[in-house]
Amino acid sequence: MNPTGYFALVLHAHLPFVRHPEYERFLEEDWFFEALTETYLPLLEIFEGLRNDGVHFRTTMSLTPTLLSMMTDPLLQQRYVSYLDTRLAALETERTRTAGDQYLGPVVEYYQKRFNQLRTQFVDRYQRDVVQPFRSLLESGQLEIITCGATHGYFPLLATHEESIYAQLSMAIRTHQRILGHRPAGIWLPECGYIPGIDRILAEFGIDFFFLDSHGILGADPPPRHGVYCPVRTPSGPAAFGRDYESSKQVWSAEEGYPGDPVYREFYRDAGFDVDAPHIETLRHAGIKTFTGLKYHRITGRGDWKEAYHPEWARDRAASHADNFLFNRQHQVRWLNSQMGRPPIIVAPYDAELFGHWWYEGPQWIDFLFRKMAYDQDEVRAISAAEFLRLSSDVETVVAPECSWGAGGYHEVWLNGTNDWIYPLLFDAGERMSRLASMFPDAKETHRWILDQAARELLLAQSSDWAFIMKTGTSVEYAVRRIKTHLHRFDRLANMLESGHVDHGYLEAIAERDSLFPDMDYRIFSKRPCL
Amino acid sequence: MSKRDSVEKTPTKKAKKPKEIKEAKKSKEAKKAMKSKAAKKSKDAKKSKDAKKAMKSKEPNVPSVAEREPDLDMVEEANHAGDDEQRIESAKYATTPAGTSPVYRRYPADLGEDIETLPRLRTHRIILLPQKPGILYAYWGLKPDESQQMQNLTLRLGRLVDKRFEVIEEIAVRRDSGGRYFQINPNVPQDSVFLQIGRYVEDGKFVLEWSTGIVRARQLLAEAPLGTKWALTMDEFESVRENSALKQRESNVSPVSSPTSLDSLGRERVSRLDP
Repeated sequence: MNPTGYFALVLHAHLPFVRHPEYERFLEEDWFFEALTETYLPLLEIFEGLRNDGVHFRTTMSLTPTLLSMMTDPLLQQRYVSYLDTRLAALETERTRTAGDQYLGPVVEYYQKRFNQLRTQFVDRYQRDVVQPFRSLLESGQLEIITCGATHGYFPLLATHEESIYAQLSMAIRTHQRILGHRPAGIWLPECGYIPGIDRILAEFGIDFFFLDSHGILGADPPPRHGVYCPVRTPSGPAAFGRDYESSKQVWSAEEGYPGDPVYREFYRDAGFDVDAPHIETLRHAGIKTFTGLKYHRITGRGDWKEAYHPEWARDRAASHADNFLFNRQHQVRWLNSQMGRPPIIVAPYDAELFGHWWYEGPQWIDFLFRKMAYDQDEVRAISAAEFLRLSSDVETVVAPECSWGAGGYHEVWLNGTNDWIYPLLFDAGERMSRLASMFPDAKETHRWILDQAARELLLAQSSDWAFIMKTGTSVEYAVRRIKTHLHRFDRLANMLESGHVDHGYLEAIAERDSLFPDMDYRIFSKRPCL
Repeated sequence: MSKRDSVEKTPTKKAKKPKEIKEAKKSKEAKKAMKSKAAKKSKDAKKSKDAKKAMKSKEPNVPSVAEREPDLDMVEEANHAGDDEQRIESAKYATTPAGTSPVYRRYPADLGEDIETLPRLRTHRIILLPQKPGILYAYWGLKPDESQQMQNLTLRLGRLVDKRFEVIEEIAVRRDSGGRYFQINPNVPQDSVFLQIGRYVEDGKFVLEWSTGIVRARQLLAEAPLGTKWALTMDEFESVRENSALKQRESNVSPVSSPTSLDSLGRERVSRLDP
């Protein structure tokens, strides 16, 4: 088959490390449980279905080290089963409550069936380990799994302390190898944040490709001949793929994108706010009204009046939208091929959580898209980034400019009046960590334990999520608390080393709480990082 | 509140003025676009909204990367795109519907940690960070009471031109720590801009205490510029985003109204949409 052009679906799956063994239940752990329920498990379901049916598909997917750490954490795995069980119990009562309701009754029945399916998938089939099926898809070649910064630190703003970028990359690759069993060929730069020189560091780590927003390619020097429709090489070697804005917009745009269709499920209406009953109360956190994941309505239209959700109608619409998307890609590659004289690549990157969590029917849309792409036409072929690079022999070399995929295209989301206070503290802690790593080049026993835990605390403080949340205002109190806590813990650990007074009880307590990266080596922060 | 409502409540950015669009056209790519026949067609079509609609409905208009010119609608869409993505990304961290008060909780004390007292900075620190083309963030942190002891401290941002420091803006330092956003010409090379703290002495001479530039990663090739410039100005950025896309094509999804509440679930279906 000689396709007219290629399509690369790129999904960036990420959540910050949220795990609170010190509390019986913790609200923000629901971020992970909701993403498992609505995104990660449904994606695995459709990918496995495609593979079982012999459908050609390819997806490039980043699983960030924090996400992989949570997916493999026994406490969170056990808590997720509780999350499903409490919902199933509540749904049993909900079914009685809505038995005579011709609109809501069937939706409740749908959720009951769905949560049972998810429980079977997670507990019986995967034995609570969702990494294993991702790994299987990786090994069978349909899924290309790439890495990201260890805790999603935003590189352009960490560049003031370059050792922090090395540490982020070093720990990311170690974690990827430990959990997935292979070294990543590519990376999703956190927030697509790039500055010239990052390519050199990526090359040092053997990373072969990464992704940039469209302006990161089109603003390169010299401007690439084929725009974003062909990767470019950076001076240090790693290739950069550029985002195709049009295909992105068809999904991202809230106004004209597919997810805004009236028959799709409404994200903001939730039984946690709509239903006042004791069985729903059990899903709340300490009596506070929050999302429960039980959403009974469809978007319907503007305004507060919402009609009942109908999964089958929504599924049909997802099929139509997949058809429309493919139709547009066919026209796009036909035109581009005629201009370029070679098959273009359409790179369509999205946050993975957009599919399922935000756009509930998104995974079904992906399923339809790949099936239609495989059977209904032969102009567009799904491909992974690495595969396309292998096919490309004459890639231009350019200097890509400073950029990100955040609102405005640069660093404003992560550096503004709501979050700029964090950077002096992060830089100070970073320099102190590097100094300690130089002071103790071969620490043993307690010193080693303290240094490793200090490195974990610093990496956790560097997560770009905290700055992002401060800007967007969703869970600001928690984000501020997290960054202050990690900086405080780092400071106390560094003081222990400098003063020689070790508080073993405290060290043990925070090691239990911030337990990711068991193979941490604090020397990743040294001036000559261990790669 | 709905996905759509959340769109409505977002303040919309103004469409770019024709003058700004003209400036954007001056970019290399836009110049090429002006030369191309496809661009001329597109330009003609823009004379009226009806003409544009007619054009869209006739044939898929797919100018290549090298053949396009800024389109008012598309530029505005590009402006919104980042906002949409930010809103969708933030849904990952949402625990309540948009527009409602965020959940407020008192966290039980854990480990007796006094997290509200932030770690003290270990040394003098001045930082210069680029935020976006034309905007730099400057931070200074001195030892306690240093700003009082070292009287008349001045923070100044400037650029090095022919070994001379040209002051862009300066302010008096009245606190031990603080931050400020400076506006500069976005075309000024990043590696020529410096932040200084010092004081003026009687003869008007500036005595420098501390100085920093924008720290950027070292590059592999010596001839590669060390972060010398922003990729694009904000205007160019909007234009480039637009240019990376092909124009919205005729849709093969016919408009179908949503099922109403009078439909019985399961009995009536939305008609299947054929291409």
